[in-house]
Amino acid sequence: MNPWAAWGKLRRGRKAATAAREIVTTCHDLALRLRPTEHEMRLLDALRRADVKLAEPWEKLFQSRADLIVKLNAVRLHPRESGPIKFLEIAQFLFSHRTRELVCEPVIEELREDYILAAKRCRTPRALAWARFCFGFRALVAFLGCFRISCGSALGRFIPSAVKHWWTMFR
Amino acid sequence: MKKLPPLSHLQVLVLECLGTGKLSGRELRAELANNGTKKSGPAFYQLMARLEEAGFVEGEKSQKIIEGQIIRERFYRISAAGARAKRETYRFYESLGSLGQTPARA
Repeated sequence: MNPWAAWGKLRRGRKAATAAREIVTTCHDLALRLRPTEHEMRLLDALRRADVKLAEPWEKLFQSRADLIVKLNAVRLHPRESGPIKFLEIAQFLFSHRTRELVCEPVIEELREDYILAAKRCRTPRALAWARFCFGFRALVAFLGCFRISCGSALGRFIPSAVKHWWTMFR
Repeated sequence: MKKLPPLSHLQVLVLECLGTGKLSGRELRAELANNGTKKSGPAFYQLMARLEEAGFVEGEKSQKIIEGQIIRERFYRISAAGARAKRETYRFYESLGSLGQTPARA
C-alpha cells in the first residue's frame, strides 16, 4: 500500500472522527440545556397533584429528554480528556481504598476540572497540546504526592535513624 | 499535668475556616492559603482524611457538570465532635496563657 495514500486515509479518518465527536458533543450540550429545570419539575408535580391525565404528556416529554441525556452520556466520546489524567485515574488503584477514596479522587477531580476549563480556552491544536503537557506534568506531581502519602510512613521505617537525623537538620 | 489538646494548630485552622457552613475542598484550600498556609492537593486531602476519620469533619460527595462532563467534588462540614474538640483546644491554650501571666503586683 502506498504510504502517502495510507497517510491521507488516516488523516481523513481522523477528521471524520473529530467531526463525529463535535456532533455528539453539541448534541450532548443541547440535551443538557433542554433538561427539565427545577421550576418545571415543580410545575409538573403540581399538575400531577391536580390532574393526572393532564400531567401525562408532560411527563413523557421530560422522560424522553432524560433518556436522551443518558444515551448521549453513554455514547459521548471524551475529546478533552488528557492521557496523563486518565493514567492517574488508573494508577490510583496502586493505593489502598482509603487513599483512593479520600485523597486521590478529589485531587484527580480538581485536576480534571482545571483541565476541562483550560482546554476550552485553547483555540489551536498546539495550545491544546501544551495544555495537555502541562496537565500531564501536574498529574505526575499529584501521583508522586499520593505515593508519598500512601507509602511515606511505611518507607520511613526502612531509612536509618542517622539519615533521618541528618535530614531533619536541614528543615 | 495538663491533658494535651485533641487538635493540632493546622487542624484548628481548618475547622476555623470551615466555620458552620459547608465548603468544597477547593474553596477550603483557597481559604487556608488566604490564611498563609499553602498545601499541595494530596497533603491537604490527607489532612482532611485524618480529620474525617477522627470524626471531626463530615465529608460528602457532590456532582457538578462542567462542559458536559461530570465532576465529583468533595464537600466538608464540621461535626459536633469537631466543634467540641476545637473548644477544648482553645481552652487548653487559654489556660496556658493564664499560667504564663505574671501576677499583678500589690
